[in-house]
Amino acid sequence: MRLSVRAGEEGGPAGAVMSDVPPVMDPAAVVRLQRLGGDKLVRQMIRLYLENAGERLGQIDAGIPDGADLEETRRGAHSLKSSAANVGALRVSALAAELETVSQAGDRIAARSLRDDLAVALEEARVRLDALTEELA
Amino acid sequence: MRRIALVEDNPDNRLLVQAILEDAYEVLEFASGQEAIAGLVGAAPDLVLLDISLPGMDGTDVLTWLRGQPSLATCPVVALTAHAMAGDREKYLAAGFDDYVTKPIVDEEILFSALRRWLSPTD
Repeated sequence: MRLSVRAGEEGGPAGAVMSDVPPVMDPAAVVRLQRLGGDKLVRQMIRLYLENAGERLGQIDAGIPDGADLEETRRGAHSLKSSAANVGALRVSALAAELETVSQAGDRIAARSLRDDLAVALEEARVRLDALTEELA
Repeated sequence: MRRIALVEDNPDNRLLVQAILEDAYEVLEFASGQEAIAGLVGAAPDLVLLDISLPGMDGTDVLTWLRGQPSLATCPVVALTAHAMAGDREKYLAAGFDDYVTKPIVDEEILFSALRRWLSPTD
């Protein structure tokens, strides 16, 4: 399965043209965190995810240029995959999983394209998670 | 309370596992393979939850070291990993892990049942 997120195309949501693109957020993940540790855990997990996401995107970028070590990209994507899933950022998690796979296979062209899709999904998730944090504050 | 050593580099995963387990277990956190090696013997855990994909010294390296320590040689070690590919389970069990739990932990009962399976029911 190759995910392709083209946010903003035809003005519609990213999933408009691809039925297998997962939603930006899975609200069930946040409900679960709330059950495990209340609003405090939700806020902490979102904060840690957002900090980690920035770092991991940097790591992903470091491995992308020709001649760079694509293993860095794979590692960054691997970490982002589970961090994103913890807070319910499904689309980020799915794209990171795919980026991990193509990086492992050494496919730099696919990795570049997925990296850009991932950046869009990260921003979409950040907006939603920031709003959620404000609601809980 | 039984003592679980958690070796995991992602702070959010550590926090989540801590939140899941803290009512039932004492959880000691180690953020890298190097930290684990420095502290595991002294920590004397009843079980180790070990992330496979650690930067630098990875989970398999930590396992090899751990099996060489007389006090930890028989300690149950459960792999914690976001790799979830066909054949992975067999691969990690063959490498000497006692069990295998995949991340993200969407159902905490899976984690609890893995722990119960390897912790003796005494005390």
